[in-house]
Amino acid sequence: MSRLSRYWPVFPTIELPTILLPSFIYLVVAGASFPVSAQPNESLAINQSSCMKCHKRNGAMFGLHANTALAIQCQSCHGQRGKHPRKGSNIRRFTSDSATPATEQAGTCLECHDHETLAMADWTHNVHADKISCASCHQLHVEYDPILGITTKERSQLCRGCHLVK
Amino acid sequence: MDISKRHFLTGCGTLIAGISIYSVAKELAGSEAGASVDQTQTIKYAMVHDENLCIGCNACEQACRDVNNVPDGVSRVVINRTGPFGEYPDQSYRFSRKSCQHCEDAPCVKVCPTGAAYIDPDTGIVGVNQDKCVGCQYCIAACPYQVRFINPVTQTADKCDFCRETQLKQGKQPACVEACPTHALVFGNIRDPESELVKTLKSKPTYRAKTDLGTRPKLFHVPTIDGEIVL
Repeated sequence: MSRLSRYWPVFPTIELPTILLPSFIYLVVAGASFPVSAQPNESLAINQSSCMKCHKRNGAMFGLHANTALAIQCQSCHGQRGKHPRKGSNIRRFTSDSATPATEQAGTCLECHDHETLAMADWTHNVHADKISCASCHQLHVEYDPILGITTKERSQLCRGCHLVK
Repeated sequence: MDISKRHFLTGCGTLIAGISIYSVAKELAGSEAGASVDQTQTIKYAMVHDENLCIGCNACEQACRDVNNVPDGVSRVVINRTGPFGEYPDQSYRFSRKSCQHCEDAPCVKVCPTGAAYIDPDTGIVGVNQDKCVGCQYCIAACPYQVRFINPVTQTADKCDFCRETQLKQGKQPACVEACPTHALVFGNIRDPESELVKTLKSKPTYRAKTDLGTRPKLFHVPTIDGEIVL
Protein backbone atom coordinates (compact mmCIF):
# COMPACT_ATOMS: atom_id res chain seq x y z
CA MET A 1 0.00 0.00 0.00
CA SER A 2 1.43 3.31 -1.02
CA ARG A 3 2.05 6.07 1.47
CA LEU A 4 -0.69 8.25 0.01
CA SER A 5 -3.39 5.65 0.36
CA ARG A 6 -2.70 5.34 4.09
CA TYR A 7 -4.44 8.66 4.49
CA TRP A 8 -7.24 8.00 2.09
CA PRO A 9 -10.34 8.62 4.16
CA VAL A 10 -12.56 6.12 2.34
CA PHE A 11 -10.78 3.02 3.58
CA PRO A 12 -12.06 1.98 6.98
CA THR A 13 -8.74 0.42 7.91
CA ILE A 14 -7.02 3.79 8.29
CA GLU A 15 -6.03 4.83 11.72
CA LEU A 16 -6.68 8.53 11.25
CA PRO A 17 -7.89 10.36 14.31
CA THR A 18 -11.62 10.43 13.78
CA ILE A 19 -11.78 14.09 14.68
CA LEU A 20 -9.67 14.97 11.60
CA LEU A 21 -11.72 12.95 9.17
CA PRO A 22 -14.66 15.36 8.59
CA SER A 23 -12.36 18.32 8.13
CA PHE A 24 -10.26 16.33 5.69
CA ILE A 25 -13.30 15.40 3.64
CA TYR A 26 -14.41 19.00 3.73
CA LEU A 27 -11.04 20.17 2.44
CA VAL A 28 -11.14 17.70 -0.45
CA VAL A 29 -14.67 18.69 -1.40
CA ALA A 30 -13.88 22.40 -1.07
CA GLY A 31 -10.74 21.96 -3.13
CA ALA A 32 -12.61 20.16 -5.89
CA SER A 33 -15.18 22.90 -6.17
CA PHE A 34 -12.66 25.74 -5.95
CA PRO A 35 -13.07 27.38 -9.38
CA VAL A 36 -15.04 30.57 -8.98
CA SER A 37 -17.17 29.78 -11.97
CA ALA A 38 -18.76 26.93 -10.10
CA GLN A 39 -20.79 29.41 -8.08
CA PRO A 40 -23.85 30.82 -9.75
CA ASN A 41 -22.83 34.31 -10.82
CA GLU A 42 -26.10 35.95 -9.81
CA SER A 43 -25.51 35.04 -6.20
CA LEU A 44 -22.10 36.72 -6.10
CA ALA A 45 -22.06 39.77 -3.89
CA ILE A 46 -20.77 42.03 -6.62
CA ASN A 47 -23.68 41.13 -8.86
CA GLN A 48 -26.14 42.17 -6.14
CA SER A 49 -24.99 45.75 -6.53
CA SER A 50 -27.49 48.48 -7.27
CA CYS A 51 -25.51 49.27 -10.41
CA MET A 52 -26.90 46.05 -11.85
CA LYS A 53 -30.38 47.57 -12.00
CA CYS A 54 -29.31 49.43 -15.12
CA HIS A 55 -26.08 47.67 -16.14
CA LYS A 56 -27.57 44.21 -16.50
CA ARG A 57 -25.83 43.51 -19.75
CA ASN A 58 -22.47 45.15 -19.34
CA GLY A 59 -22.21 45.13 -15.58
CA ALA A 60 -22.41 41.47 -14.65
CA MET A 61 -19.16 40.20 -13.30
CA PHE A 62 -17.81 36.72 -14.00
CA GLY A 63 -14.47 35.15 -13.42
CA LEU A 64 -11.83 35.66 -10.81
CA HIS A 65 -12.51 39.28 -9.94
CA ALA A 66 -16.08 38.39 -9.01
CA ASN A 67 -14.88 36.08 -6.26
CA THR A 68 -16.77 36.97 -3.11
CA ALA A 69 -13.64 36.45 -1.04
CA LEU A 70 -11.99 39.36 -2.82
CA ALA A 71 -14.94 41.58 -1.85
CA ILE A 72 -14.48 43.71 -4.94
CA GLN A 73 -17.29 46.14 -5.57
CA CYS A 74 -18.10 48.05 -8.73
CA GLN A 75 -16.82 51.17 -7.00
CA SER A 76 -13.49 49.53 -6.22
CA CYS A 77 -12.43 49.95 -9.81
CA HIS A 78 -14.89 52.34 -11.39
CA GLY A 79 -14.84 54.87 -8.57
CA GLN A 80 -17.72 56.54 -6.76
CA ARG A 81 -20.83 57.05 -8.84
CA GLY A 82 -21.19 60.71 -7.90
CA LYS A 83 -24.13 62.22 -9.83
CA HIS A 84 -24.21 59.36 -12.32
CA PRO A 85 -26.41 58.81 -14.28
CA ARG A 86 -28.27 62.13 -14.05
CA LYS A 87 -25.24 64.34 -14.45
CA GLY A 88 -21.67 63.87 -15.44
CA SER A 89 -19.44 61.99 -13.10
CA ASN A 90 -15.88 60.85 -12.68
CA ILE A 91 -16.67 57.20 -13.16
CA ARG A 92 -13.68 55.40 -14.59
CA ARG A 93 -14.26 53.60 -17.84
CA PHE A 94 -11.80 50.92 -18.81
CA THR A 95 -11.34 50.90 -22.55
CA SER A 96 -8.53 51.91 -24.86
CA ASP A 97 -10.55 54.89 -26.15
CA SER A 98 -11.94 55.97 -22.80
CA ALA A 99 -12.01 59.53 -21.47
CA THR A 100 -10.26 58.15 -18.39
CA PRO A 101 -6.53 58.58 -19.00
CA ALA A 102 -4.52 55.40 -19.50
CA THR A 103 -2.35 56.28 -16.51
CA GLU A 104 -5.40 56.41 -14.24
CA GLN A 105 -6.81 53.20 -15.69
CA ALA A 106 -3.54 51.35 -15.19
CA GLY A 107 -3.13 52.92 -11.77
CA THR A 108 -6.42 51.40 -10.67
CA CYS A 109 -5.26 47.92 -11.63
CA LEU A 110 -1.84 48.52 -10.08
CA GLU A 111 -3.45 49.21 -6.72
CA CYS A 112 -3.67 45.45 -6.35
CA HIS A 113 -1.41 44.12 -9.10
CA ASP A 114 2.28 44.58 -8.46
CA HIS A 115 4.18 45.63 -11.57
CA GLU A 116 7.05 43.29 -10.78
CA THR A 117 4.72 40.33 -10.64
CA LEU A 118 3.15 41.45 -13.90
CA ALA A 119 6.61 41.63 -15.45
CA MET A 120 7.22 38.04 -14.46
CA ALA A 121 4.03 36.99 -16.20
CA ASP A 122 4.93 38.84 -19.38
CA TRP A 123 7.77 41.20 -20.28
CA THR A 124 5.49 43.40 -22.38
CA HIS A 125 3.88 44.72 -19.18
CA ASN A 126 7.12 46.60 -18.51
CA VAL A 127 7.26 48.49 -21.77
CA HIS A 128 3.57 49.36 -21.91
CA ALA A 129 3.48 50.12 -18.18
CA ASP A 130 0.99 52.96 -17.70
CA LYS A 131 1.27 54.19 -21.26
CA ILE A 132 -1.70 52.23 -22.52
CA SER A 133 -4.70 50.99 -20.61
CA CYS A 134 -4.76 47.42 -19.34
CA ALA A 135 -8.13 47.07 -21.05
CA SER A 136 -6.40 47.39 -24.42
CA CYS A 137 -5.43 43.76 -24.01
CA HIS A 138 -7.29 42.44 -20.94
CA GLN A 139 -10.93 41.87 -20.05
CA LEU A 140 -12.11 41.58 -16.47
CA HIS A 141 -15.84 41.03 -16.55
CA VAL A 142 -15.78 37.87 -18.62
CA GLU A 143 -15.26 34.47 -17.08
CA TYR A 144 -11.83 33.88 -18.62
CA ASP A 145 -9.68 36.70 -19.93
CA PRO A 146 -9.33 35.75 -23.60
CA ILE A 147 -5.77 37.03 -23.78
CA LEU A 148 -4.58 34.27 -21.48
CA GLY A 149 -5.37 31.66 -24.10
CA ILE A 150 -4.07 33.27 -27.28
CA THR A 151 -1.55 31.51 -29.48
CA THR A 152 1.87 32.98 -30.22
CA LYS A 153 0.69 33.91 -33.68
CA GLU A 154 -2.35 35.76 -32.37
CA ARG A 155 -0.06 37.49 -29.93
CA SER A 156 2.17 38.76 -32.73
CA GLN A 157 -0.86 39.98 -34.60
CA LEU A 158 -1.98 41.83 -31.48
CA CYS A 159 1.35 43.69 -31.42
CA ARG A 160 0.91 44.41 -35.10
CA GLY A 161 -2.49 45.94 -34.44
CA CYS A 162 -0.89 48.96 -32.77
CA HIS A 163 2.72 48.93 -33.94
CA LEU A 164 2.13 48.58 -37.67
CA VAL A 165 4.03 51.21 -39.66
CA LYS A 166 2.28 52.11 -42.86
CA MET B 1 86.71 43.05 -65.81
CA ASP B 2 87.72 41.16 -62.81
CA ILE B 3 84.95 39.19 -61.13
CA SER B 4 86.01 37.84 -57.82
CA LYS B 5 84.45 34.85 -56.17
CA ARG B 6 83.05 37.16 -53.52
CA HIS B 7 81.23 39.34 -56.07
CA PHE B 8 79.82 36.29 -57.81
CA LEU B 9 78.44 34.83 -54.60
CA THR B 10 76.97 38.18 -53.50
CA GLY B 11 75.30 38.57 -56.87
CA CYS B 12 73.85 35.09 -56.77
CA GLY B 13 72.61 35.58 -53.22
CA THR B 14 70.89 38.84 -54.10
CA LEU B 15 69.27 37.26 -57.11
CA ILE B 16 67.92 34.30 -55.14
CA ALA B 17 66.65 36.58 -52.39
CA GLY B 18 64.99 38.83 -54.96
CA ILE B 19 63.25 35.94 -56.70
CA SER B 20 62.00 34.42 -53.48
CA ILE B 21 60.67 37.74 -52.14
CA TYR B 22 59.00 38.38 -55.47
CA SER B 23 57.30 34.98 -55.54
CA VAL B 24 56.15 35.26 -51.91
CA ALA B 25 54.81 38.76 -52.53
CA LYS B 26 53.03 37.57 -55.65
CA GLU B 27 51.49 34.67 -53.78
CA LEU B 28 50.28 36.96 -50.99
CA ALA B 29 48.79 39.37 -53.47
CA GLY B 30 47.19 36.45 -55.28
CA SER B 31 45.63 35.01 -52.15
CA GLU B 32 44.27 38.42 -51.21
CA ALA B 33 42.78 38.86 -54.62
CA GLY B 34 41.27 35.37 -54.38
CA ALA B 35 39.72 36.09 -51.01
CA SER B 36 38.35 39.43 -52.07
CA VAL B 37 34.98 39.44 -53.67
CA ASP B 38 34.25 39.04 -57.31
CA GLN B 39 33.59 42.60 -58.36
CA THR B 40 31.66 41.50 -61.44
CA GLN B 41 28.95 39.95 -59.29
CA THR B 42 25.81 42.03 -59.80
CA ILE B 43 23.64 40.61 -57.02
CA LYS B 44 24.79 40.25 -53.44
CA TYR B 45 22.05 40.02 -50.89
CA ALA B 46 22.31 41.43 -47.40
CA MET B 47 19.98 42.37 -44.58
CA VAL B 48 19.71 45.11 -41.98
CA HIS B 49 18.01 44.65 -38.63
CA ASP B 50 17.18 47.96 -36.99
CA GLU B 51 17.23 47.25 -33.27
CA ASN B 52 15.56 50.57 -32.55
CA LEU B 53 12.52 49.74 -34.63
CA CYS B 54 12.22 46.11 -33.51
CA ILE B 55 9.50 45.56 -30.91
CA GLY B 56 10.18 41.89 -30.21
CA CYS B 57 6.82 40.68 -31.47
CA ASN B 58 8.37 37.56 -33.02
CA ALA B 59 6.26 37.88 -36.17
CA CYS B 60 9.42 37.29 -38.21
CA GLU B 61 10.09 33.97 -36.57
CA GLN B 62 6.54 32.78 -37.09
CA ALA B 63 6.42 33.88 -40.70
CA CYS B 64 9.70 32.07 -41.33
CA ARG B 65 8.36 28.94 -39.69
CA ASP B 66 5.25 28.97 -41.87
CA VAL B 67 6.93 29.77 -45.17
CA ASN B 68 9.95 27.51 -44.82
CA ASN B 69 8.22 24.68 -42.94
CA VAL B 70 10.59 24.93 -40.00
CA PRO B 71 9.58 22.33 -37.40
CA ASP B 72 8.82 23.24 -33.80
CA GLY B 73 11.76 23.27 -31.44
CA VAL B 74 14.19 24.74 -33.96
CA SER B 75 14.20 28.10 -35.69
CA ARG B 76 16.08 29.82 -38.49
CA VAL B 77 15.72 33.21 -36.88
CA VAL B 78 15.59 34.18 -33.22
CA ILE B 79 15.11 37.62 -31.73
CA ASN B 80 17.12 37.73 -28.53
CA ARG B 81 15.74 40.03 -25.87
CA THR B 82 17.75 41.64 -23.08
CA GLY B 83 16.44 43.85 -20.35
CA PRO B 84 14.57 45.49 -18.86
CA PHE B 85 16.71 48.61 -18.74
CA GLY B 86 15.69 51.66 -16.75
CA GLU B 87 13.20 52.10 -13.95
CA TYR B 88 9.49 51.40 -14.01
CA PRO B 89 7.43 52.84 -15.75
CA ASP B 90 10.08 53.91 -18.26
CA GLN B 91 11.67 50.62 -19.08
CA SER B 92 12.99 49.36 -22.34
CA TYR B 93 14.34 46.19 -23.87
CA ARG B 94 16.94 45.54 -26.51
CA PHE B 95 16.44 43.14 -29.34
CA SER B 96 19.03 41.41 -31.43
CA ARG B 97 18.46 39.22 -34.42
CA LYS B 98 20.25 35.89 -34.50
CA SER B 99 20.22 34.22 -37.89
CA CYS B 100 22.61 33.26 -40.66
CA GLN B 101 24.93 36.16 -41.48
CA HIS B 102 25.68 34.87 -44.98
CA CYS B 103 29.41 35.39 -44.51
CA GLU B 104 31.53 36.00 -47.56
CA ASP B 105 34.23 33.91 -45.96
CA ALA B 106 31.95 31.36 -44.36
CA PRO B 107 33.59 28.95 -41.89
CA CYS B 108 30.72 26.48 -42.33
CA VAL B 109 31.48 26.19 -46.04
CA LYS B 110 35.17 25.68 -45.37
CA VAL B 111 34.67 22.78 -42.98
CA CYS B 112 31.93 20.95 -44.86
CA PRO B 113 33.44 17.62 -45.95
CA THR B 114 30.79 16.80 -48.55
CA GLY B 115 30.39 20.18 -50.20
CA ALA B 116 26.79 20.48 -48.98
CA ALA B 117 27.44 23.92 -47.55
CA TYR B 118 28.18 26.37 -50.32
CA ILE B 119 28.07 30.03 -51.25
CA ASP B 120 25.83 30.71 -54.21
CA PRO B 121 28.05 32.64 -56.65
CA ASP B 122 25.07 34.48 -58.14
CA THR B 123 23.58 35.88 -54.96
CA GLY B 124 26.17 35.46 -52.23
CA ILE B 125 23.68 33.45 -50.21
CA VAL B 126 25.15 30.68 -48.06
CA GLY B 127 23.10 27.60 -48.81
CA VAL B 128 22.82 23.96 -47.78
CA ASN B 129 22.43 21.22 -50.34
CA GLN B 130 20.28 18.77 -48.42
CA ASP B 131 21.06 15.91 -50.79
CA LYS B 132 24.76 16.22 -50.06
CA CYS B 133 24.54 16.87 -46.32
CA VAL B 134 25.32 13.85 -44.16
CA GLY B 135 24.50 15.56 -40.89
CA CYS B 136 28.04 15.43 -39.48
CA GLN B 137 27.50 18.77 -37.71
CA TYR B 138 30.95 20.15 -38.52
CA CYS B 139 29.30 23.30 -39.80
CA ILE B 140 27.33 23.68 -36.56
CA ALA B 141 30.59 23.50 -34.62
CA ALA B 142 32.35 25.88 -36.99
CA CYS B 143 29.71 28.62 -37.22
CA PRO B 144 30.81 31.44 -34.90
CA TYR B 145 27.26 32.81 -34.85
CA GLN B 146 25.69 29.49 -33.84
CA VAL B 147 22.82 29.76 -36.24
CA ARG B 148 22.93 26.31 -37.75
CA PHE B 149 20.91 23.35 -36.50
CA ILE B 150 19.96 19.86 -37.57
CA ASN B 151 16.44 19.83 -38.97
CA PRO B 152 14.67 17.05 -37.06
CA VAL B 153 12.61 16.15 -40.13
CA THR B 154 15.31 15.99 -42.80
CA GLN B 155 18.17 15.21 -40.40
CA THR B 156 20.36 17.62 -42.32
CA ALA B 157 21.91 20.97 -41.45
CA ASP B 158 19.47 23.85 -41.81
CA LYS B 159 19.53 27.62 -41.44
CA CYS B 160 18.28 30.86 -42.97
CA ASP B 161 18.77 31.08 -46.73
CA PHE B 162 17.06 34.48 -47.16
CA CYS B 163 14.01 32.44 -48.35
CA ARG B 164 15.88 31.68 -51.55
CA GLU B 165 13.81 28.58 -52.31
CA THR B 166 10.48 30.07 -51.28
CA GLN B 167 9.96 33.83 -51.35
CA LEU B 168 12.83 34.99 -53.59
CA LYS B 169 11.84 32.51 -56.29
CA GLN B 170 8.45 34.19 -56.44
CA GLY B 171 10.04 37.61 -56.60
CA LYS B 172 9.03 38.48 -53.05
CA GLN B 173 10.98 39.69 -50.06
CA PRO B 174 11.98 37.15 -47.40
CA ALA B 175 9.10 36.10 -45.13
CA CYS B 176 10.52 37.82 -42.04
CA VAL B 177 10.89 41.12 -43.89
CA GLU B 178 7.32 40.98 -45.13
CA ALA B 179 5.98 40.05 -41.71
CA CYS B 180 7.76 42.77 -39.75
CA PRO B 181 5.14 45.34 -38.68
CA THR B 182 7.62 48.11 -37.88
CA HIS B 183 9.81 47.75 -40.95
CA ALA B 184 12.79 46.90 -38.77
CA LEU B 185 14.12 44.49 -41.39
CA VAL B 186 15.46 45.69 -44.72
CA PHE B 187 16.59 43.20 -47.33
CA GLY B 188 18.19 43.95 -50.64
CA ASN B 189 21.06 43.91 -53.06
CA ILE B 190 24.17 45.51 -51.62
CA ARG B 191 25.52 45.99 -55.16
CA ASP B 192 22.59 48.17 -56.16
CA PRO B 193 23.22 51.75 -54.97
CA GLU B 194 19.53 52.58 -55.49
CA SER B 195 18.27 49.78 -53.25
CA GLU B 196 16.62 50.56 -49.94
CA LEU B 197 19.22 48.42 -48.27
CA VAL B 198 22.14 50.55 -49.45
CA LYS B 199 20.26 53.71 -48.57
CA THR B 200 19.62 52.36 -45.08
CA LEU B 201 23.26 51.37 -44.68
CA LYS B 202 24.35 54.82 -45.73
CA SER B 203 21.91 56.69 -43.50
CA LYS B 204 22.14 54.68 -40.29
CA PRO B 205 25.08 53.57 -38.18
CA THR B 206 25.41 49.81 -38.31
CA TYR B 207 27.54 47.07 -36.84
CA ARG B 208 28.16 43.48 -37.75
CA ALA B 209 28.81 40.69 -35.29
CA LYS B 210 32.30 39.25 -34.80
CA THR B 211 33.91 41.00 -37.76
CA ASP B 212 37.29 40.39 -36.13
CA LEU B 213 37.02 36.76 -37.19
CA GLY B 214 37.34 37.79 -40.80
CA THR B 215 34.11 36.08 -41.81
CA ARG B 216 32.75 39.25 -43.44
CA PRO B 217 29.10 38.74 -42.42
CA LYS B 218 26.27 40.35 -44.41
CA LEU B 219 23.73 40.76 -41.62
CA PHE B 220 23.93 44.35 -40.43
CA HIS B 221 22.51 45.60 -37.16
CA VAL B 222 21.48 49.15 -36.34
CA PRO B 223 22.46 49.39 -32.66
CA THR B 224 19.96 50.45 -30.02
CA ILE B 225 20.34 54.11 -29.25
CA ASP B 226 19.13 54.83 -25.75
CA GLY B 227 18.84 58.23 -24.21
CA GLU B 228 21.50 57.52 -21.67
CA ILE B 229 24.20 55.01 -20.96
CA VAL B 230 22.85 52.07 -19.02
CA LEU B 231 25.36 50.03 -17.03
